[in-house]
Amino acid sequence: MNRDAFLAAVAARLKGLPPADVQRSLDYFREIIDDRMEDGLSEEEAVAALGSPEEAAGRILEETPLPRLVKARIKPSRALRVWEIVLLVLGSPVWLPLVLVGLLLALLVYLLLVLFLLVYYTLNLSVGAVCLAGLWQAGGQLFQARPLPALMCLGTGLAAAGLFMLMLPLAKQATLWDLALWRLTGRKIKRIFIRRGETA
Amino acid sequence: MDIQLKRGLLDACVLSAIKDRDSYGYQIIKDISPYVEISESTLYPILRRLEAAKCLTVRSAEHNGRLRKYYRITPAGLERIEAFKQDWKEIEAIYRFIVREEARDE
Repeated sequence: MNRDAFLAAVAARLKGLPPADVQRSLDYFREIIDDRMEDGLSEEEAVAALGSPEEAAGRILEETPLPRLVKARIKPSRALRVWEIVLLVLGSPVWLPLVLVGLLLALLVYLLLVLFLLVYYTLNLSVGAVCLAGLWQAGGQLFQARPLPALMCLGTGLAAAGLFMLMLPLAKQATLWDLALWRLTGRKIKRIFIRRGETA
Repeated sequence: MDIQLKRGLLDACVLSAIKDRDSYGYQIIKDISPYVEISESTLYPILRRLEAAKCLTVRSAEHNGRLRKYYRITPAGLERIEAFKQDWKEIEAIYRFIVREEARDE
């Protein structure tokens, strides 16, 4: 390997570090190679005496403070990020509707849950109403001296009362589940933002 | 040898190599090599570190139509050598203590 090839190999591995630092490193190795050649070694020998460019660059990177190293390492992706932004803007007709559909679906699921709960409550109340109406009608029929319809209304009323009692605890439980689900989702969303803040 | 210990030793060696006269990379390597194994790749970060710690200053001077960097020790660098000598006295005392314990065990 000749001098320029060695220096180019070192420079390639220091890519991303401040250019002035890279130049200083290359100047140092160039000076050493020149000094060795002045001492009587050939260019190839002088370069070989330095070891591998990987080792030379590795030692420099080891001594580089971590923040600067991280900065150097993410630099290439920063250049990409401009492209990502361009892609994001250009691709917005594709991803924006998808995101909106996703959000609407989530909203729909919640609305459905709430709706289900409302329907259940209505059903429960109707059963309660049927119970009252049945008992009321049973009384009316009995008052009009019609025992069979009175018995039928009484049976319906009692059956509705039983169903109402059965449905009531489930309504309560469903309400609690629904509230728990809301709270859980709320916490999840909050956590996403907390994590965002931690990484930013 | 322990990495931290060798690091401290090399710092002191490099400072000692430029203590009496300004020197340059290759010369420092040649001066230290008989005593401590050191490569050019190792020396460069040490020089940068010592410069950052203001233990030495760098100047460029022309040599055979090209630039060569000369390193000069600063008062802080001289202090660092003195501190190393002091540390070494303590290490020697500890060493004697350790060796004496071993002698008693045998």
